[in-house]
This record gives sequence, structure tokens and C-alpha cells, in this order.
Amino acid sequence: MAKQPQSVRKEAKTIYVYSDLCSGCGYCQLACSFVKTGAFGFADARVSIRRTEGKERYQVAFLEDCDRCGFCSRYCYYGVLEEVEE
Amino acid sequence: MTETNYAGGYTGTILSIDLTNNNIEKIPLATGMARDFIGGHGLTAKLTYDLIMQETDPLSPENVLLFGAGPLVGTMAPTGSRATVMAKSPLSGLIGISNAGHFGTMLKFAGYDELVIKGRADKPVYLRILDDEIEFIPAAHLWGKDVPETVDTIRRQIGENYWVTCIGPSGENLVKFAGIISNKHSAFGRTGMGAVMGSKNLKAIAILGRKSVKAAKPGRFMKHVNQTLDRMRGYFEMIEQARKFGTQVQALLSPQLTLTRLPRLPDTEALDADKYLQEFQVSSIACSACPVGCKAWLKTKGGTAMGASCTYGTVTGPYGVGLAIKTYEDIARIADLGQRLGLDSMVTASMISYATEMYQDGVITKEDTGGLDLNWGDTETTLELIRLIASREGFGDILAEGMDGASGRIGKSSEKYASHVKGLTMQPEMFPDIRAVFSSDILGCFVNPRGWHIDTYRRPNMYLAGDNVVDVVREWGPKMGVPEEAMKSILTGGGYNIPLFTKYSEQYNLVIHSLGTCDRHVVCLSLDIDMLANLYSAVTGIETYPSDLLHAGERILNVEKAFNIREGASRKDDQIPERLTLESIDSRRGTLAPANTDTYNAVLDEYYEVHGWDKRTGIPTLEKLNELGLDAIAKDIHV
Repeated sequence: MAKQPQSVRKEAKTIYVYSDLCSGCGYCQLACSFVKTGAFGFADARVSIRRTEGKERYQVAFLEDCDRCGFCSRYCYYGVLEEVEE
Repeated sequence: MTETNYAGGYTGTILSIDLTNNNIEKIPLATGMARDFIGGHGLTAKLTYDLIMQETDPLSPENVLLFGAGPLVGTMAPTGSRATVMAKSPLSGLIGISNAGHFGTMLKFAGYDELVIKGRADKPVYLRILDDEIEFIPAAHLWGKDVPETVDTIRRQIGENYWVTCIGPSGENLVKFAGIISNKHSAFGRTGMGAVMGSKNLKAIAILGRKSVKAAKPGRFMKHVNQTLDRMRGYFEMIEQARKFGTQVQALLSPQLTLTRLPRLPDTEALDADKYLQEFQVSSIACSACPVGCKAWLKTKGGTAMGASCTYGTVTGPYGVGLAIKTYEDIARIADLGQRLGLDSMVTASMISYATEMYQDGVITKEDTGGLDLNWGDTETTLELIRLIASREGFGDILAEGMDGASGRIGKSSEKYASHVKGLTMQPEMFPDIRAVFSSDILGCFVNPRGWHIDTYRRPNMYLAGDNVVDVVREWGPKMGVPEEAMKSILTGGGYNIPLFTKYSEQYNLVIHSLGTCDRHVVCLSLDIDMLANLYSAVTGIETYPSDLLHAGERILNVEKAFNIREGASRKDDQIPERLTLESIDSRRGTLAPANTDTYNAVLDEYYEVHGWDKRTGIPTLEKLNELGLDAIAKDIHV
């Protein structure tokens, strides 16, 4: 699948998001909640995975309070979150 | 909310729901139970033993349906997402066990290690669990709906973010091999847990958990998480294959195929890996915290959307090889229907194969089948049979009873066509046949308390080891925590001691299932008992040695065994089906002779002996049960 960046943000880190590749594993959310709260959960994560209605695919997005620390991208094994060297 | 004393891993709460009177209890998880049975599979086995009375009718309100999620579920421990469901199985009349991803993660985030469902609702209901809030919602509008329709309807009703675990029409109609499906694609299959859920008038469980799971020692825990992930990266190619093919990867294992019977249709596409990639558009789906992603949402080029994770193990093997369905397009149509109706694909295919074989041999006729002409490779008839089974109409009502029940109703010489162990059908198209190879994992299938299936005993896959059995035992023994002395005993005399190695393999695999990680090959390769003990100690703060975990594994197996013994099971239930001892079989390695029962029984003697079980009956001895701290169980089964 050709990679087409869906969003490019340049704050603390630049992270490309390729939602088409998401498997819904939620590792990014667990990593985010851990680094921000010290515990594992989906609700406290600052990255969201939304199921695309009827298609069983996923839309990945950073929430407003995400500071682009990049910890989530270290645990994405599907190439969805890619930290880009400036 | 119940206060608990756990620093991490466990939520500390068992949620118990009685559907008869809508009673809800939140019971603290006793620390002794957690330590002795780990959680997940182990804790669920103990509660199953404690809560289900002897001789309970599996489809009565007195049966109890239990879901357990272990201490690693919901954390970043790689693949820590597996939950176990148990009840008394309508298929075997013994302990019913099934394991799947997805469900457990949300159960933990809602604040529960275990969900216990008792009684029976007056009318169809579904459960909504939002952390501490529990609601019983009428489900008349869902009754009769298939799995994806049910999930979508519930999400529209209560919210998109709920994880929905439900039964299809087959579960409502008490088909004895109906499964429970989580989020449309993770199946609790094989042992008929969907029929138990249907008998309780429970259509679905929708959970949204907004809490979190802690690690008692987060720094140490993450160190071990990262070490495990580093190891997994070392198996990059294996992960790539698993992701690309799912369990279809088995079709690539040519050595394995030489161990099974010849396919009825040699050119079935089910064995063609290249064609698989050409034919399907594959979108990977993973359970929580899984870097592998062996499930997939599949769509054929012809436009048939096939349910997720429908790959070789669950679909193309049973339907393609087992029933000689030729094309992936047709296999996809059959798989899609079976999944929508909530049926276990392996048992369903076995039942249709069993009926077709008898029809071809003239044991049953159109009079029995309701006019259906049963031939190999007939897609339309297979689809019709699946519909009939799920709705329990006509001939389908007989097949819905499972192999043991169906042969009882058909009579004639149908019994000799029925190959099953404890009611669970064998899968000659997928797994190697004892006539070709006798190994620890194959012995494990016969003695498995849940019936025939390579699961608890699946790693390492000794049936694939060929001439390298000693090397594989040397590699895996230390990984599984086999003590040095025992390794010497296992490796005495050239080959390996199958009964003794099976014992350690069982313990290790039960630890994995109880902690809540996955037992896929690449995952097991990346773990070992030391790593599991480190992960467990760090997440719970309960300092635990590898030997403690393995001892718990042994305790868990004895509880499962005791459940079956209490129901009247004995040595006879661990036997090879008669058919395999009478018939030879054609394989790619030539004709394989019938299984030798004397050889098997000598191994079974030794298996019981190394477990501390009575050789004559298979019953765990008083000494063994007391040694494991199972004094109350000892009193039950040694009256």
C-alpha cells in the first residue's frame, strides 16, 4: 500500500499518521496512557483510534492535549505512526 | 467500588451477575486465589469448579458462564489481551474452555478480572457494562440478528466505543457448537459456549472500560516488556508471514501437510498460498497490544467479504480441504455465512464432512437429510446445511447436536464415522494424525480436559520436529522451566519421553493462558518462563519464581481434571477414537497403519503416573491433590 500522510504536525515531534495501516491493536494508546499517567488504559490516551463505521477500519488521530512526545510511535508495529527526523 | 489490595495487574474484583433476578455482586478477589491460580484461565477454572454443581444440565440456568482476564491483560505486555471463557460444555458434558483476544482488555479497563454469569433471563437481554454501571437491556429486537448486525445495532443504540461480544442465531438456537464472537472477529469457539450464553437468554455483553490497569513496579515492568519486544523483532520474518497469511501460514508448512490425510480435492485453492494472496484483499486486525496481527478482515476480488481471521486454521482448512470446496471465493461465502450465524467453523465443517461421508457410503439417505444430496465440494448444499444447523431445522437439528449427539440420534453404523475426543471433533485436515506421528502435543490433544484440540498443549509443536525432536526438546525444555534432572529423564534413551515432556508443556502453556498472553508460535518463541515470572512479579508486585508459576499450572490442570472426574469422566475419555485404531489412512507419505492402542495405552499409563494420577482411572490421587493444596477438591472426588 502506498503511504500517503494524512496529517503532518510540527510541534514537539513531527509524527506522520497512516491510518490505512492501523490494525486497531491500541498499543499507541496504552503507551500514551502509561507515559502520561503511569497506568495502562484507553480512556486516558491522547491518541484516539476510531472505528470507521461499517468498514472495520480505523482512523487514528492525536487529541488536543497531545504534546507530540512521540512515545506512542515507538510502540506502533504497523507503520501507522511514524516519527520523522527534523 | 470494592477496595482491593493489589498494587497492579489485578483489578481485584469479580463481577457476578445473576440474570434470573438481576442481582449484581462485586466480589473482592482473594489474594490467595490470585496467587494459587494466577488469573485468566486458571482463576476461571477454579471458579468453574466451585460454582457449577455436579451433574448440572449445561443448558439449564444452573450452569455458570465465566469470563476471566489474567494479570497481564490490558497492560503493554506483548499480546496481553487474551481472555478465557468456561462453563460446563453442552458438547462434552465436561469442562468447556475457550480462549480469544479482545474481550479481556475491556473487561479489565471496566475494573474486573472476572465476569461470572448465572441464571437465566426471562426474556432476551444484553448487558451494558460501563465501568461500575451495569444495565440489563431488553434484546428482543436483536434476537435472530446475525453477529455483525447485532454488534452494529448495539453500537448505534448505546455508543460507538463499546466492545461488543455476542452470539449469533446458532447460539440462540442452542446449537451445541455455537461460539461467542467478540467485536465481530475474535471467536470463543469449539466447546459450545455460545449455546450456554443462548440458554441464558443473553444475546450480548457490551463493555466500555474507562479505568486503567497499573503495574506495581512500572520501570521494571517496562524493561521486561521492551526486552520481549526486542526478542520479537528477531523473528521479523515470521511475524511478517503471520500477518500476511494468518493461520493460512499452515498451508505453507509442507512438512505438516505430509502428516495429514490427502485432501479430497488435490487442487483445492485452500492449499495454494500464492493464490490466497492474489485472491484476497487483506487488512490486518490485531488483538490489543499485539505486534503480530494475525487476524485479518478479508475480502475476495469477487467482492465477498469474509469474516475476520478466517484463514487456514479456522476456515480454508476445514471447508477447503475437509469438504473439498475448490475456490477461495466459495470458501469465503461459506465462511462468511458460518461466522454471521455464530457457528464454530471447525466443528461445523466436521459435522458436514461426517454427514457427507455417511451419505456417500449409503449409511444415510435423502430420507435422513430431508432430500439433500450430499456430495463433496458442493458449495450450495454446504451453505444450506449451515443455515439448517444454525436454525436447527430438519437434518440440521440432528447435526446441531455435535458428533456424539448426532450419532446417537442417527443410529445405524453412524458411530463408527464419528471421530471425536470428549465430544470435540478431530481435525484431520488441519492437525497431524496420530497414525502419522505421535508426539507430546498429539498426546496433549487426547488428554486435554476440554476435548481434542491443540491449544493448552500446543507449544512446542513437536509434531513438526521430525528427526530433530531432541534438539527441539533441548531448546524448549529450559524455556519452559523444565528442571535439569527432569531434562535428563526426558532425554534418556535416544528420543524424548513424551509423557514427561507433555506434563511440562501443559504447565507452561497453562501459565501463558492464565497470565493472558497469546500462544501463537512467534509469541511463545519470544517468551520463556523466566520472562513470564519477571513480567508477573513486576506487574503485580508479588515476587514470584518461575517454579511457582509452573506449580500453579499443575494445580490448574488438576482442577480441570477434577471437574471432569466429578462428572464421571475416566480413562476411557482419554482414548483414541475407535475409527483411528481400525482404519489406515492415505497421506503424502503413503499409507499409514491404524493407531496401535497398546502402544498408546502404555504411554497413557506413564502420563498418568508422572502426573500423580491413578493409572487405572485417571483420577488425581489424594496425595497429589493435597500436595497442590487442593484439599477440598480431594474430599469431593475421593468420597
